[in-house]
Amino acid sequence: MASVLRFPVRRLASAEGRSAAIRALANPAEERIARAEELHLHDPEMLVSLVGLLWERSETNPESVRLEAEFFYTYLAEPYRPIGAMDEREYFLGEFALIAGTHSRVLGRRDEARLWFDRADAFFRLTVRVQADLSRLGYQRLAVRLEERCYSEVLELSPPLIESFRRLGMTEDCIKVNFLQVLALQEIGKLEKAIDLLEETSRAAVAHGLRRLHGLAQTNLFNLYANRGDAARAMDCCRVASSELASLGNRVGLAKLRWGAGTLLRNQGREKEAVEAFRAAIGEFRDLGMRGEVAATHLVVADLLIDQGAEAQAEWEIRAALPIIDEEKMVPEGMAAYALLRESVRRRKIDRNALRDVHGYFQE
Amino acid sequence: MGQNPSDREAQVDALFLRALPVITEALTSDYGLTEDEASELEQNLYLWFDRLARRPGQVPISSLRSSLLLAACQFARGVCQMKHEAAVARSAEEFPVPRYEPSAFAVELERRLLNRERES
Repeated sequence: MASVLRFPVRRLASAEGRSAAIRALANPAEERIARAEELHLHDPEMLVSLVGLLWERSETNPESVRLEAEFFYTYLAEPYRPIGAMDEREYFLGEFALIAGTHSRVLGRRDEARLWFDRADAFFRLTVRVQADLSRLGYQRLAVRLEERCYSEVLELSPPLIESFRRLGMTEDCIKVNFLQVLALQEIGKLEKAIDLLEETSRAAVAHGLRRLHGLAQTNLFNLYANRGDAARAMDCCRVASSELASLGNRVGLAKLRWGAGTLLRNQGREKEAVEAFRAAIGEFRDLGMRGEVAATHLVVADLLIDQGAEAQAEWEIRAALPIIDEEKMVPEGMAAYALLRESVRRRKIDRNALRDVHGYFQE
Repeated sequence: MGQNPSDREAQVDALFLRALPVITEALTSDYGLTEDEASELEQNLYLWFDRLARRPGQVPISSLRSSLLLAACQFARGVCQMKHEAAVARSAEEFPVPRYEPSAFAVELERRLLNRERES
């Protein structure tokens, strides 16, 4: 009978999948292919656990997650390898492309992210859970729109995406879309509406036991209250967010919280402490490989230093940001301002308006 | 994640077990597989379904029922095709490959399952 039913031989039990995935990741990428059999590299049990592990590590080490997702996508794509049963090969290719794209986006590599999203789209269409996975992809594409400052499009396209997730019963993803709307509202100056939506989002996250989203909502509330100058409420949110993020090992969230602390201190007129907080955030963003945030924060520090009359130090901060902006092609929409800033640094007389314009293009 | 993984595992098992009698009947009666072949197919179907339920972006387990039935029909059709090719190679009596499409027959299985649930 076994010669008739050609199902893949099961080598790993579900419980063994996770330890196999940890083992695969612990091996350097360049050694993995030679040890593919031993590491179960094309066993669907290992792969489904690996996908879970990569998403879990998303906010502790986005650069490593991006590289791992690229490795597994490439490994599964060429040469052709049958994986698991039914739609599993296409699913894993789609999922690794989505992970690679998401982390390219997080790291400010927007062009790469778009290509990965196109790959994810092509493979997800061949799977049985197509609506759910295309909706997850839709969320990431909307996040790119937000980063491109297309706020009205984000506000237009969020409700149907929320409705897709609602109809599919995907509560966590449904709540996540609120964050994109909040950021868009914030950018077009509708601060009170953004705060109301975030408070609602925070309550929904608690009601569904979604601690990561609760931590994220509190971080965003902290930033908004800090921007509004409401220090007491901001600090309350900071405490809640910090406790949630630390317990989840969310390094990205904690780094963003540090950035928010800098904003709060700046708004309180405590500029020297603000510079310290922002510099600490730069260190953390650098460790995480978040080059966009590193460059943006250097520019904020430069702006503060100019206020303090420390033009030479400000120039150093801008010089630290410029190569990153250049290499990652981070402000294609703000090239004119970027050119002015670059030229002003060359002449050693910083153009404050250009500095603020360029920084504006980074803000989420 | 909001839901305890062991709750989801229990839901996966419950859904699979509820659908199993209808799947077994279809495999043996409609697709002409032997009991042993049906049993092996069902084991592999369960493993695939369990992994499907663990994919990120959690959807309610109940919404995966139609995917389970579709997969059962696609697996079965694949086995019929292989048996047919094996028979041709041996110059033995041909094994018939059902004409109906897996997606259409999965809808029929869904109807049978609903009837069964209404009756019980």
